[in-house]
Amino acid sequence: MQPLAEVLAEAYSRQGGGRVTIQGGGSTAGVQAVLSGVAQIGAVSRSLTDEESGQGLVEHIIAYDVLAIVVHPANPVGAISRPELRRLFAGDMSEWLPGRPIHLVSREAGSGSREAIRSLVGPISPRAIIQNSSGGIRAAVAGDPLAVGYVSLGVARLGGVKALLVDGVSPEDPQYLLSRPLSFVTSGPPSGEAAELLRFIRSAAGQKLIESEGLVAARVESSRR
Amino acid sequence: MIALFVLLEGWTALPLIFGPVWNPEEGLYGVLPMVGGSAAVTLGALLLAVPTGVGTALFLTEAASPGVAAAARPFLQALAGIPSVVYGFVGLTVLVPAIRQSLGGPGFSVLAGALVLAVMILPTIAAVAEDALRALPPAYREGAMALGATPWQAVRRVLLPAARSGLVTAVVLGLGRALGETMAVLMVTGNVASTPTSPLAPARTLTGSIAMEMGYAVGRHREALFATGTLLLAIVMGVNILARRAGR
Repeated sequence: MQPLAEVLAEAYSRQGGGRVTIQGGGSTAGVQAVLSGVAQIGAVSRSLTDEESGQGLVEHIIAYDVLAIVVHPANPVGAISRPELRRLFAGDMSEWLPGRPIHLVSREAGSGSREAIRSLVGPISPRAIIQNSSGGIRAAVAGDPLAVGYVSLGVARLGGVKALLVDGVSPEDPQYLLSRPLSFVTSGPPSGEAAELLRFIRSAAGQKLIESEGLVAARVESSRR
Repeated sequence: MIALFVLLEGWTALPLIFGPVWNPEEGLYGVLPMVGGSAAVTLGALLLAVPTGVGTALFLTEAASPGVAAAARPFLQALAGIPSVVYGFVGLTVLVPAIRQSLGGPGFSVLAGALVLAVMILPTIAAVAEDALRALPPAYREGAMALGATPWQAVRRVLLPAARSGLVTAVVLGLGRALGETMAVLMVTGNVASTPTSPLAPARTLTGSIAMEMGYAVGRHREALFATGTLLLAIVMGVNILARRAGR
């Protein structure tokens, strides 16, 4: 979520809002920062756990991120069903064709993207190659005709990889199954600068910015499933 | 002080880390696979960089004209100054696919890590080795020549043994840097938490393990990562002590 946060913060400052400093580190780092008081807002790219919600955190969903399953453009596979995807990530499928092994690429434990895949698809094989960013996964898949991984739609659109249809639906389609909520969480209701920033993000200008980043605006939620 | 902090943060988890399986999601914190990964990548890097580095140093002190030597030094220094993430990026986009296409496997491998590390520690080893060789009195070389030795015999039997402590320092510095390198190795070794069985297998280093998971680890997991850090510190200290003994 860091690129998104930076774009929103810059637009906020430019239209007269205060200065926003941003630090990356993943969803769990964001939650920890808010709980310990180090940050007013934590960027979280997964649903809060029961344990986290029980500690007074308020979740403000600002967008939905679509997770694309990507393969090398030369890979003849163009679509996959949800059960097949589950078996693929669990490591039960070891070859595309006899003699052509599958190279699974995943994010590290603690990444919001990985948690989203684990809850939407299923467990991820411990033999998967791990990269510590979506960009790293894209680079790995773009360089290996046998690789398959998952990245945000915005990252997939940067090119070099092909997104698979899941159950016949393209990630560009609002009916696509693999999406996760992106939220800014605050400790209790937001106040002061934090509230101002959130107000900006929820405004038409903020939502338009979100759409231009390749994400789905939160206000469109009612039309999704 | 840092060593003390790291030790204190992790010492309750210290006994936990001596096991063969690393799976924090299941509560298993054995770092053996990462010790294997770090060892494999570091040893590989040394095997590649020590002969090349000492060879480069010998070339600069014994065989090169002053002009060539003067031109080579800034080049080596520039190599040493490149940020490690750049090495990692080049490794990820160029080296990993090259290994996969020509040698097989996923490309993310001990070999990729060793190659990237070797390039990174080469300037250090070459520079320190060169200093050690340059510090030898000219009388050694003159004496060897007067006794009828060929240049290579002079090098092998007189210069290298005489410069031994400096050369050992060079190797230890290179080894220390290789053991501690995080970013570049993380991008090219594949980070699979299992002991590598061949140079083409993926691996995870101790440093990579800490870097990837520290941002979000809590409780036991966090302690286990600090314990991993303590182990790393102990290994580096151990290496330095051994090297000091060998250099005497």
